Amino acid sequence: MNCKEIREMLGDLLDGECEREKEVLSHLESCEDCKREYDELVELKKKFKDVVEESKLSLADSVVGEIRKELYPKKKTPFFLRHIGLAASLVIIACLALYSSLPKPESADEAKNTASEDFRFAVMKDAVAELEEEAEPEDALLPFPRVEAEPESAPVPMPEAESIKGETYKDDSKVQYEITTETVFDEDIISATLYKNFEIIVDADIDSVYDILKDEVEIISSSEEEIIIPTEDTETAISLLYSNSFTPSNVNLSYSPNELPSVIKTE
Amino acid sequence: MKSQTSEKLLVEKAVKGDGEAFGELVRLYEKFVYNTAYGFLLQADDAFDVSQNAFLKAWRAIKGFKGESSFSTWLYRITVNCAKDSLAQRNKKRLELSSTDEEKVLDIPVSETPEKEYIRKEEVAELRRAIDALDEDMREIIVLREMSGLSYDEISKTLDIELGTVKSRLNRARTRLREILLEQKDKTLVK
Repeated sequence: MNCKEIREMLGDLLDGECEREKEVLSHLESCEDCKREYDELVELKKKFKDVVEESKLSLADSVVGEIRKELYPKKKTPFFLRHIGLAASLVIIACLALYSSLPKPESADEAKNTASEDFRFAVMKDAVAELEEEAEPEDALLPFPRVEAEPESAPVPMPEAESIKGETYKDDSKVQYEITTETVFDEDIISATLYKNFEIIVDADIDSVYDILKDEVEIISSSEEEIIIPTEDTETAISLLYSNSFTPSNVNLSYSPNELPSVIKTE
Repeated sequence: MKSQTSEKLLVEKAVKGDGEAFGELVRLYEKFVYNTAYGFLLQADDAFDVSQNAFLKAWRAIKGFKGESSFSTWLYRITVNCAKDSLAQRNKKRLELSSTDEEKVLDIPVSETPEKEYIRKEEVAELRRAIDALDEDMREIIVLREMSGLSYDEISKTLDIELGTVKSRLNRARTRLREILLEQKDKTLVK
């Protein structure tokens, strides 16, 4: 083989793909020009190793993330489901309004009942105070139904239950209470439930928060200090806040519907 | 590196829509795909975008993968096509750019480094410019061999050309690359 033929095979030799390797190597031992040519190709090949700049990002993580997004798209809760709690609340309010508009029956024991209500109100206050003392710090914002244990003695006749609902303040926040009195074996068993709004604190001005939420969640009311939304919309609101790079706090709670509305406040 | 059997299993799962199995294949081939994309684009961010695009195209098309070629050859083809498309788009845009902007695309930041490091970086930058100046078919084959690390047989299957053509085209590409490098050096000396 002459030098021209050899030089056409130097690349193949370099790549380990030369079919006539022995002949080419033998030629290189005796031909300085071809050897120089080969050495230059070796140098060129070495430089290729430095050409690629490593990516700062993980390609695999990025691709897998995109595939997961395609496989498991976030499902938006249908409109009617998101507002079912509100609809239920409106029905209850309508029923209560109808009930309170009905004429109250005259009662001979009206005075006695009033006195009894005063007594129960006093009991209620004590119960609420007791609940506030019992509440663990981490429970402070939970709408906890803390019901006093009922006596386990059986059989128990069907109790006659009466309840009082109302509102009071705890740590400058409005709370709702429900005191239930049950008479079992002539003994009054008092249970109390205390509800408190979920409070979400956001590190942003209230107008920005309002703009983000207004088209997606029900706004019950809003002021310069706070926005009130239905409890069932709380999770939607929180995800909207996160997706707009806000950092709401107090969000590690379980938002069950049919409780008090949620309050969104700014820091 | 996983064995061929487990790769085959991963491909079978991915064809059935198993995203996690495809994710494993991504991990196996990410270096190849990125290096190939880089060879065409010569810019890290663009190479990343093209690589991601190539993998996502492969994922969306894998249901139709019948195994007529090996998975790797199939993926190589997708990668090369994505990279060539992206390069064509960029070249189109480049025509609208000023020469100053063009220089910026290929510029390598060189800070105060020891002399050897400086020379090495300069040489790498020269090589990038030389690759960029190659004709498309030469650039394609040199990238697949030197940066993607494909064998002649794999290049032949990926580009659907004869083995003899791989050899001759690669030979021409190397010769041309060295010519361009020499031309660049001459220009520098004249300056």
